[in-house]
Amino acid sequence: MIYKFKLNNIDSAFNLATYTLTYGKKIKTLNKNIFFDDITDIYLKLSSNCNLKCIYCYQKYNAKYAYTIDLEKYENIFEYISSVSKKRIYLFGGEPFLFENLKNLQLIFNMLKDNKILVFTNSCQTSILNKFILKNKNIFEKLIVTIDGPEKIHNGRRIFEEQNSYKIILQNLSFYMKNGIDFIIQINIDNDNKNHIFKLIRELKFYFKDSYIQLKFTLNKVLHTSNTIEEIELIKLYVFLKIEYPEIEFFLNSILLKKLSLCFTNKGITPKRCGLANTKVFDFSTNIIHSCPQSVEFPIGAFNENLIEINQKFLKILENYNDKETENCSSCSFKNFCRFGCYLDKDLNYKNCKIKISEEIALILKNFDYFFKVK
Amino acid sequence: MNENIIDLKIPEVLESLEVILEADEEVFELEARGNCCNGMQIC
Repeated sequence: MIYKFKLNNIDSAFNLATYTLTYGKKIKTLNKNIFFDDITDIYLKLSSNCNLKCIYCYQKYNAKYAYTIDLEKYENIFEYISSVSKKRIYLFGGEPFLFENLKNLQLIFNMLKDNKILVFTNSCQTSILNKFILKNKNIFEKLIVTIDGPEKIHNGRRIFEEQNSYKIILQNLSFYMKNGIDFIIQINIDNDNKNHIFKLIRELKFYFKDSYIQLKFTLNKVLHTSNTIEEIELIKLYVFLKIEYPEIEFFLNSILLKKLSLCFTNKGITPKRCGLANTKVFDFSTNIIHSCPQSVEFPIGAFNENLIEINQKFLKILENYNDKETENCSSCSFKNFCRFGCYLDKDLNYKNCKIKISEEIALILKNFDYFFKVK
Repeated sequence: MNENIIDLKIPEVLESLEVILEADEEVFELEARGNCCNGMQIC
């Protein structure tokens, strides 16, 4: 399979059989070694408690936890986390920035003081929490803040009792900007809000005036629902946004793009769908370890104050699925670019999977300049 | 070379040879843009 496309208006081609890229008279032989991701992703989940009731949240049916956990007793667990050599640490939930979490958050920040932490937050917190965030701002690598569309659409999806969560978020984003707290806006996209993203950008431009240029966005597909947007539509949306707003930084959360990026920058190739084998989600409200932050259905272990136990046998089953260890997939020429392999969705051998992946590769290559730059 | 492989791959190999023969050995490097897998991905 050879994909022909234009790069900087020059005839270019990607040969999937020989793993070569040609760019005019230049040629690049791609690294076919397996890419080994040595970074461990550690998620810290205090509880599923949240101040919003988002319509698509997979955790909305979880029982509320009476929050009485004292994280002080988990010193050994945090020592272990600190000792992992290459890692990313995430605060996850529920919503981490809740008043009830303050004491435990401070304990975490003290115990992990030599680390940087990424935080997934809805940023609907009050000024007391803002003071707390400011006081601890040096420990944050970045805050990842969700906005799901223009005001009306966002408020209809991310429900905050009688309050306008959209307005509160924008006020808090202004606070972050003013105080040098790094953040990125994550837009969770499905078929219901996919046509409203341009209006969101227009609204934010109007609200932030000249500062809008500092905003960064990740387009993130809502997964595991019947309303999931097609990958090809998400890629198109990214390209259209880049065309309309070249001055704004947009990122695309796409497994296919990650794999093409690894391959085209010569880091290597991998059949793995995601970093499942290198991920541990510590849920302190249940003492369960999950393999994926998107699901509580497939626990891989448990922990207490002094011990972490992983069910290696079950983890291996998940890994094999993630690695596409099936008869059809292992010999497939698209194996190292394929985004399927989610155990939760049981999506291997998806109908017309090769055609889908091939069309998506072709679309990215057709719009190469928006995804890659010749150095 | 294995005959079966040649039979199966003829159109692909010929086309790829055509592209490669036109190209010289000058290399080029690419930089990825828009890929969000730098510490904030949930798949």
